Amino acid sequence: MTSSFWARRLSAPIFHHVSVAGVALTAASLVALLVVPLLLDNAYYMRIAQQIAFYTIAAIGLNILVGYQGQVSLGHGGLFAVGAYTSALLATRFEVPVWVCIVVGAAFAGLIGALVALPTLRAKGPYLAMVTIAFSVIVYVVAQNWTDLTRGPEGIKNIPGISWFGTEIRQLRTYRPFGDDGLTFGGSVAYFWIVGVAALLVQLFAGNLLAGRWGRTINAVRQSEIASETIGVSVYRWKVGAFALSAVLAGLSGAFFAHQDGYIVSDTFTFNKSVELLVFVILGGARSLFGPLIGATVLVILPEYLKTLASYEWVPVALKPIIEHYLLFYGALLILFLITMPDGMAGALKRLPGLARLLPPVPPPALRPVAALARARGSNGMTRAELVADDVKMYFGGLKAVDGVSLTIDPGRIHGLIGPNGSGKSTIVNCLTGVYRPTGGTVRLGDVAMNALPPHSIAALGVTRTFQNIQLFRDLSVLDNVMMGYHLRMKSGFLGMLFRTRATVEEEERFRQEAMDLLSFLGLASLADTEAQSLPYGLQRLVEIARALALDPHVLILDEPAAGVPAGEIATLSDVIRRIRDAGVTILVIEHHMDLVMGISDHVTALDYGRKIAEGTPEEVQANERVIVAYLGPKDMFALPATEPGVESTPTSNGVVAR
Amino acid sequence: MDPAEIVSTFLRILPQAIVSGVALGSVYALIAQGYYVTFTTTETVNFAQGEFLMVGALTSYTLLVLSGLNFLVALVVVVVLMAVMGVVVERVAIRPLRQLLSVGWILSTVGVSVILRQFAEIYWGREQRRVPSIFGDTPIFIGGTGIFPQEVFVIVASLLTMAALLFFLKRSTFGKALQAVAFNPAAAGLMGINVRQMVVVAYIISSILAGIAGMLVAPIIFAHAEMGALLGLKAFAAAIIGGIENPIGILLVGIGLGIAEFVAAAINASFRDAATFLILILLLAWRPQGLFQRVTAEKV
Amino acid sequence: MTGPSGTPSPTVTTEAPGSSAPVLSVRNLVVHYGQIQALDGVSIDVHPGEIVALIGSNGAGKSTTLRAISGMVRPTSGTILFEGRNVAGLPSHRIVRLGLVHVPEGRQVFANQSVRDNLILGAFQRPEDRQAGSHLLDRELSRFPVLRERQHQLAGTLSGGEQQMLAISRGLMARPKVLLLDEPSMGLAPLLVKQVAETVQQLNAEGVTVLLVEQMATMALSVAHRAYVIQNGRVVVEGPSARVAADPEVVRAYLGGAAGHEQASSKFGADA
Repeated sequence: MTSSFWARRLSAPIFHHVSVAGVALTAASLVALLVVPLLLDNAYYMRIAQQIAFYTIAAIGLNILVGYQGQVSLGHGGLFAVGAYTSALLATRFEVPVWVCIVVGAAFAGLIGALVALPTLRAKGPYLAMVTIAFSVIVYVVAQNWTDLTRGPEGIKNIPGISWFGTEIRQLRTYRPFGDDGLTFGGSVAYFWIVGVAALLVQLFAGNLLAGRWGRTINAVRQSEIASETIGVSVYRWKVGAFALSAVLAGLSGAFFAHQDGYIVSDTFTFNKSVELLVFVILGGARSLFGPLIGATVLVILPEYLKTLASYEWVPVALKPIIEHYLLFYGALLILFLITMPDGMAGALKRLPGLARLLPPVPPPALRPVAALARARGSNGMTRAELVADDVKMYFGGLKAVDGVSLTIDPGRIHGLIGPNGSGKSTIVNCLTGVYRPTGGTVRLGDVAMNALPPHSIAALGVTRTFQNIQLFRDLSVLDNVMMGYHLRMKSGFLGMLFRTRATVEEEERFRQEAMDLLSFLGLASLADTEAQSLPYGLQRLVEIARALALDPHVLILDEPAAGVPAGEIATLSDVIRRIRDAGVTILVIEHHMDLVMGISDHVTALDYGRKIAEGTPEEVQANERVIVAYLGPKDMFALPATEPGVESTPTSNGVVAR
Repeated sequence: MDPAEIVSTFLRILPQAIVSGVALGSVYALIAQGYYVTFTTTETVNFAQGEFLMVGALTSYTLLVLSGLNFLVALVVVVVLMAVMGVVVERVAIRPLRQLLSVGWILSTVGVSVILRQFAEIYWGREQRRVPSIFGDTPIFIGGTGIFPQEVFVIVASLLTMAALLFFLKRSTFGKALQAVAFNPAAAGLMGINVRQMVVVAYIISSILAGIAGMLVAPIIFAHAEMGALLGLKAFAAAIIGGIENPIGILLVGIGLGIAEFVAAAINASFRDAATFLILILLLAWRPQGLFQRVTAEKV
Repeated sequence: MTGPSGTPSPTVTTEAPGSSAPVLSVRNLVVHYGQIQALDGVSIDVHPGEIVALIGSNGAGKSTTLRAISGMVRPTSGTILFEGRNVAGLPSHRIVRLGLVHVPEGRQVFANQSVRDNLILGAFQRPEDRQAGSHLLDRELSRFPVLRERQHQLAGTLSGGEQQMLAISRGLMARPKVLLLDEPSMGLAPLLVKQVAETVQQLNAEGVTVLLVEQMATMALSVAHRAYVIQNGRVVVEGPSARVAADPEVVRAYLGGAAGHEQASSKFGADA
């Protein structure tokens, strides 16, 4: 079978557009799950395998949160506990069927996770870590002390196992589905099948989510919340959503744990459990699809291996206690991996040369490159309006950053905004895009007042911006960066992404094609799959502009687009900006690079000390005395040394003098 | 119990709760000053601070009880040990992870805390160890309230230590240099201050504070491997609520939390630990940047 | 010494003060901030006793040049010779000890400490200069009387102009052989800018060699002996300040090239 066979894409439910290789891998995993236990049939191994399975579920959830979405949570042990206790209590107190208990346990953990996340996700870094630790501790304290409910350290006993075709699974000694002479297996194998298949499904669905728009958005939010807001992503909702999803998975894992042995005690659910889960994720490889599986496998087996090791004769007695305290190894490995292998074991595996040849990456479906922009910009039915700042004031306490500036940017033109440091250029742009709320005056697009709108609403109105410090999604490919620009227009919902429905996949393909069209328009088509941060700076700038264009804006605000761009690429940048104007987009350029801004602008406004000092064509502004004084200083204040007539200063050997 | 009884019980135990609460709270404050010093200079904290306290406490047990050493000698040994541990944690768990501007240092210092706890379990076992107070264990009775001399010592010693810290920071050149590094590391470098060295000094100070706190608190709370975890976390709560760049705020909030905890314990002993954390979660929900923190916007 | 209209003028002698070997010599300096190239081969000389100006529009690379010299950023390539020794790539705290002192852009005083403490920190590496009775401390407190008046006030409560004076005095506490002044006029009212210019001349008269970075070309050229104009990370014009002031290239460096139209008298130094 040739490699093109493996690369062929299917058109089947749940596996839409998955390659043959992907389907084969899934099928093979399922078969292995079912068959291998029958060959081993050893209760001890099965127990370990069950543990690997449900810890993988929790790790996948935590990886989504910590790895992909970038939030630190040291509280997932608490959510694990919530799932375990909820399921155990429903089963023992209310005799609810165990399947139902497990599902409710997971859901309830998700709810608790969302409730904790909602108020606290605005905290960042160490503060958020603190909240999650606090949550973990509170859960432990409640478990330990609310003995009426949880029986504390004594624990809840006799939690029923799942019933397997009528028999309670832990009572199952041997099961003979094919009669007395056929295959036999014990309850532990059956439970492994249940948990194992659950883990496989979780891996599958997580893969669906992470490979598509959901994963892309989560990744983007991690890398730049500001840029995400500008594109229209409601960052807060996505963060809470990711947290809730990871909570559901932690709870599911806990529920499976509770029904494994049928006995849980509060001592299990200390803060250490949260640390364990994190170690699975970090060691396995944060932000890697199979990292959680690898991490869980290695780290569940490790303590067992250490216990066996400690029992050997030849191990010195002094070392035995060290070996038995497997958490010690967890801690040391955590630090080691953070410093030396931040992308974990999965990352290390990917870098093995042999492996790369064995599993060549499956190329995405080919797209047709298009030379010109097919759709006319601004033709989506809305009339083109002018962007107006009307006597805008922006005061920060006593500082008058902008003191009554009025500015009109007419549709279809390039408008330049210049001014020395501190003149208020960036401030007025932040007022126009919703980053600041003006202290006085109005900001409007046509008749629509925008003063009180947040950035993502202004983006939805059709005003979009790029940033002085490029806010690209560094880890994403060029194409994915542009695809993020389509966020507001993509309609597929969570379930569609989860189940990889035909509608979702086809929408994704449509927008991919549109993104390629856009990239071609800007001359970037060949770079579509390159990781954004590996591009030279000038091209990164163009990618950021492409992403902004994906929002189909009426007005594009470019904040110092030439900053950092090498001299040789300025001409390309100017060219691209003009082409964008020709395609019908209104452009406002804030710049220090005078050659660029004077060269492309139809109209220029100059600011100084928060006020407008000149306005007109580039030539008019360049010759304006007030502008010259603003930049170079007042002539009359300083006695300049007398000049010798007719003598010019020396042009330097490494400088460009003539223009 | 009828209301009158409840109130009279409450009033009876209140003075005791206040004294013990102030003692415990001043320990929280002492630990939290360590967070303040490292956070202002490096924007990182040592999540293993509680475990450093625990090592200090258990080491003092070994030195005072098992080896029969004199208190001052033991103090010196603990201080030196803490300094060394501070240097190691900065070099291994903090410095390599700061350049990535990530929050990896949170995870690595949590890793350190796990390692220290495990080592403590191995070396000292899981039992709680009694460390006798150098002032004896007989309570002094003042108007019906029993106060342990050790508690008074803890209050006095903690306050003195914090005063010494503040004096050092405000009056000595070194302390001013540390503040300069906290305020603006680039400008501090232009003064000839070796910023990297200062960061190490900050961690040494933070660790020593934890060790002293451990020695002070050991006679009151039994010394054991798990003692540090909750203490360190509650102290961090005090730091966040009081404003992690505000040493006076930290002091006040620390003492406040200590008192609140003892009052809560008097009402319902089991949930005293949960009370502090619940307050913290609610507070951060209301103000994600802490009570006294100045809010800095990101420049784009 | 004053010029015709009573305003101070640079000490003009027939021969440039620095005909001896340069005390600071920068050659082919290339600096990157991550992927962005900020300097593309800058070469500058400063002779003992000179005031040298480095002017150009915002973002041209002036401050970056000073930051590379003082060790705040690490150059990609190039040499920085100070008294014959290459200091490129050394950390700031070591460069200060050699006598190369940087008064940074935006003043950057330690706002949460007193004026007096700021000065003391300036002398961090010389304990004898930081003591209470130190002669140097006394001199700097007296240089700008307002500093002595407000010596126990927090530096953050000072006005912009006062902070600039503090930053300069703080730099002087390190006994600089060469003082790097980074945009001292920024954010200051015109009268204060004049004061800064006078201060620079005063310092030079006391024997301090100065490398002055300024966005405000007129002020810098009025005090400097020689000047370099930087644009897009390169030196585009250099020479004695009188000649540079008369060169129309300077206005173009700030405002962009003329687009074919004639520009109204852009020889901004012509009508003295």
